[in-house]
Amino acid sequence: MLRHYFHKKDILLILTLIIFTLIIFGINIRRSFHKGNLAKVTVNGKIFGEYSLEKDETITIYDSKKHRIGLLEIKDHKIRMKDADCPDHLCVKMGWISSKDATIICLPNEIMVEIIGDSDSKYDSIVN
Amino acid sequence: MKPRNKTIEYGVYLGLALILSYAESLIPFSFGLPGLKLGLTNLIVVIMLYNNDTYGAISVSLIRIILSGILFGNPFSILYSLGGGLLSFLVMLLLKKTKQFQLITVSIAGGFFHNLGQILIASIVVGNTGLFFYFPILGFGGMVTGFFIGYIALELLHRLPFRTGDYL
Repeated sequence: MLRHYFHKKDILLILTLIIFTLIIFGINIRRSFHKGNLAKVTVNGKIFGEYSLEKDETITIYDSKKHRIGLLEIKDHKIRMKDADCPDHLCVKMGWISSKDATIICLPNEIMVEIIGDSDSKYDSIVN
Repeated sequence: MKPRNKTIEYGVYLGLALILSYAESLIPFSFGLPGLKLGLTNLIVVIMLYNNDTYGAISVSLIRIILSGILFGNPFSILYSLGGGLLSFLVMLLLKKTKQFQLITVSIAGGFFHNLGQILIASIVVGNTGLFFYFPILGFGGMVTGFFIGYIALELLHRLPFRTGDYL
């Protein structure tokens, strides 16, 4: 049945797309070994705070009108959006992140959590 | 041949696309994955494209994105949907013009590039490449949904009374 819908060129194109995806997947696995130790939180493009991933804690995020818009949880050197007041909760579904450059974004509330800093530069975060 | 009344035709297509947008916003089809959607409205785009109405397809697609963004989303969702919708449309148009690929393949590529376009726009807005961590699952997801959309579009095109029949 499928042979009716896919000819040789179709298979080639689909395989190209799959290989492209697998290459990105490989790059991601490589990148995921590179852990970060500092989470930068921005709200509306302004820096809300920077938090070390070395210490377990929960952080409430407020917007400029002091409304609670999100709740971050840091545990075992990972961070996630535990709760948010946005309608789709995509940021909560994004789950735990710990790799350098990994990002959680909440579009409706314009919250962005970005992992920065190398594990090597441990001393910088202690100073911070 | 009686000329088609384009205003009525586009109105019907736009209405259908908006209803599909709404239906999609009701279905909790995310499997816990960020941003993965069925892409039901792509059905309308594929059908219009293969009914040889390129300008109609892009117009309905753009108006649908803006209207459904206002109705069911927010300004940001319009931006991301535009990125995905435009890239996916351009890729599907080019692949169709080559006349080398089957409809379902074109739709699969459309689903794939829709998600790629959204991640690209989001990465530009956010200013880093961290969101590409979600790309593998979204790329594969787009291909799977693109396959089903393409299959439904093909079956509909066979059954609906369209003039042109060169979509196989």
